[in-house]
Amino acid sequence: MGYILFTKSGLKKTLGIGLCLLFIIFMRLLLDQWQAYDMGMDMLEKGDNRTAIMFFDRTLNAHIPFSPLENNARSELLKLASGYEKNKDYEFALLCYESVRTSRYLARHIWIPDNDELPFLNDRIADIKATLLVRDGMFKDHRKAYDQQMTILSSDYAPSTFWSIIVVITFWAYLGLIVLWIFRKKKVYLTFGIMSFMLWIVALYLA
Amino acid sequence: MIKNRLTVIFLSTFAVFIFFLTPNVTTGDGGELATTAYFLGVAHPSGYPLYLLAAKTLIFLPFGNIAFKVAITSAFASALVLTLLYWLIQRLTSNNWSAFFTISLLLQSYAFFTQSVIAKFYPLNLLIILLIFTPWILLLFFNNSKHRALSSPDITIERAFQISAFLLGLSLSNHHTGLIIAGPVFLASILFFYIAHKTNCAATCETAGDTAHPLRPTALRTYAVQWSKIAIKSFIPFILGAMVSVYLILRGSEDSFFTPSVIGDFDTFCQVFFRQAYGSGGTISIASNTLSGSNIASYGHALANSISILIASFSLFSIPVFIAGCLLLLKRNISVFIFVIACIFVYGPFLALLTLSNPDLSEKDYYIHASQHFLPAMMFYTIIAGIGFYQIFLWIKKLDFRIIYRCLPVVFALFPLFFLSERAVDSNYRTNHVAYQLPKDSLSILPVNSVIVGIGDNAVFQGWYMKVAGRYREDICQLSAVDTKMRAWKFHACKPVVYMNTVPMIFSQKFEEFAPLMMKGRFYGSAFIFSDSAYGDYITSDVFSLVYLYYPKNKHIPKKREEGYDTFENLLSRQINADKLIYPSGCLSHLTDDVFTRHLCFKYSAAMTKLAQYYSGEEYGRTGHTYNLTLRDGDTPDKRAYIDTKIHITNKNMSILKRASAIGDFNKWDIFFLRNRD
Repeated sequence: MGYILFTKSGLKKTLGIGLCLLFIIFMRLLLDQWQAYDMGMDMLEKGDNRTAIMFFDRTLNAHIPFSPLENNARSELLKLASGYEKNKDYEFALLCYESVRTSRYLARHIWIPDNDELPFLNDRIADIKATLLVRDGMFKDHRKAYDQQMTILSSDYAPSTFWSIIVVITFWAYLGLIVLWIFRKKKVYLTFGIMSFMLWIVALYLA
Repeated sequence: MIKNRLTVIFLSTFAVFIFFLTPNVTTGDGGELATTAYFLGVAHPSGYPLYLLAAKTLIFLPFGNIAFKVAITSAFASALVLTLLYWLIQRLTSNNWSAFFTISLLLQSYAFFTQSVIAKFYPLNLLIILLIFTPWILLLFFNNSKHRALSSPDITIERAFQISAFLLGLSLSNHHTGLIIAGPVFLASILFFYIAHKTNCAATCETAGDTAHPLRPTALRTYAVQWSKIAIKSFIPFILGAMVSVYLILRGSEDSFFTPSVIGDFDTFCQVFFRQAYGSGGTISIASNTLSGSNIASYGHALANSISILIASFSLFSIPVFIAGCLLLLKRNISVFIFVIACIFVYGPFLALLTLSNPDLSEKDYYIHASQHFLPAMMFYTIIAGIGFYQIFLWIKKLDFRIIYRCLPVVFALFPLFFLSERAVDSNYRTNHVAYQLPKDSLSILPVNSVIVGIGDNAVFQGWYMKVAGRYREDICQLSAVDTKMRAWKFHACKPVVYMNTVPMIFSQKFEEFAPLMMKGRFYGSAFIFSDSAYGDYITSDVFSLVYLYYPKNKHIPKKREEGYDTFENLLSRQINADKLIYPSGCLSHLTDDVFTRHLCFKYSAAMTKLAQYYSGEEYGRTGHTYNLTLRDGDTPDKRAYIDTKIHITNKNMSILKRASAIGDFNKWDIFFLRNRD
């Protein structure tokens, strides 16, 4: 049955279904973004900033690449953060900056969306945290506190993207080839299946 | 034509699930599975590598957030289950409406629908079970003397054995209940040989008299030899499937940045793989204890519980259709009947005997077992109901009411979809943001460089998602504990490589070393510490908005004043500031009857009630009325009260109390779907 995928019309149909699936997911996220952004702007107009932050956060979490709604929501959050910072309302400023940063990490796939913004966010977050640490008497030196926070914020312990991609590709190749071997009884499938498995093991180790 | 119809069914059911899919992390295992999939770690026993790899594949999609993408795995698997089911019933009955009735019946069922829109491994488990089941039912239904399915040339007995063996091996790397289908498959293979030889005999042995009976010893020996040969050949595919579990060894090492289950040697591998970490709840223990220790009463309870789950899921109207299906199968193909009933039995009463044989079902029983483990039984039930649907319309056809015969199938096949409206108000996870909002709010209110002990799965797993996958408030070290009785806290979200500079004292695991951190108001937990808790002798706790502030008992802080700690004096102002940062309204707008969501919402309600207590002084204008303030710890089995007092209602706290009560009312436990139906 699996070989249907490898005929020309089968491949076309599979691609067509795949695109439809992506379209369905895209529409759902668009609906989420549109509703959340709309509510966020409403709340902002009403002066309910806490609720607005929450809705903008939801807009960012329904990530769609190049979405203007998402860009606007991010800008609004950064504007709010900067305003809070000026008013020395550090907890709220931190909430806004952290929300934007976390939404980028949660939306990561092969890369982190808008990762060019991360150094700025890290700087603001580290600065605010250092200010709070000095205010609470945990640190005397703002610079030291800042450096400590910056070290944590700048390091990334995520698994290797390249090897993670190899892991999933070789894994599905392995399963597919074994199924083909069972149905078509050609040794070539088994051979390639075992090769995929070995590559999978290597990728798992290196990821 | 059928291919187009299958495509439409797959896409439309997928669209339905995606519409109701959780927008972010869900309660229960959701946070753990999303974080573990991203980091390619090993989840709680049995590790679930197959699910994690499927989820990791979807994480590469350039849309949505990690938890949303992980939940798509469930939607995808469920849509495939429904499509395959449609194809199967259409194949068995040659009737499209029967096939449609089958999938609409399963689609509307509470358990199936709910599991399809959250991050869980049960839909994938169901897909594997259906894939194992399908070749065997086709073989039994269409078998002839050449051991081939008449209408499906791809299926032979050898292929059925091998693909089943491969999938059974693969199911070891998902949920272990997948293995239970091995019993009915064994039965089906025996039935197949028996029927095949009987057919052969009918054609060739008519003149040989009694000695040609298919059950004579020489014939039996022949079947056994043939069966064994094919079964032995299937051993290799089984091993090839089981080899996916090697993942556990490679990704469970202590060096991994994030892995909930650590596998260092063969013993720890067995602990994870066979779920021995759960003690009597382990795969082997649960099976051996149940089989050796069950009495007649527990068999009865298991049967009653599984029947009540089926009735709650499909309503009484499905029973006559199910009976009609049984009658048709009994009349036309008794081997198929035996096979499907065996499947219902092993995934119904038998599984209930293992996991749900109590007379009085608890909250956990309903939520963990009743709505998750019995999905395969429900699916097999709908298969017979689908065949029954066909039988009913054969009867109507005989009556020669042409118009009724043409119209009614459409109406009845669509009828179960009417119940989907119920799912929109009890399983609409699109509206549920609580599992994301609560851990976020809990971390937001903490001072910089704090430590929080997450206690219980919901606090721990969702915290992992926010902190490790989302990197939210990375200054905070989150420790993990199963419950307050656990003395050793774990460091999954507080790795020394990250936190050695900020909270080095935590890694000593000595109370006297981290007591100063507590004195600075930087030590919190997600559960109240009672005196009989593991740290009950050392720690006392107080409500701090959504979490609890932990601080040393007085005997451990002799120089409190001299050392200048003033944490507790300004607790009120800190509490008020914290309450400005939280967003409880999500608990008033979610359309789900998820027990854990309700449990989490209780924390918002409790935080607000506690805030109301702060505003109950005379200076806020007492109204003369009082309010019974009882806060219970939902994490302890007996839900002990840690605050039980009366507070004065004032002009200031009235609105807060109303909001807290509204959250409490909205999240009442007694409207949970399965319990309500029971």
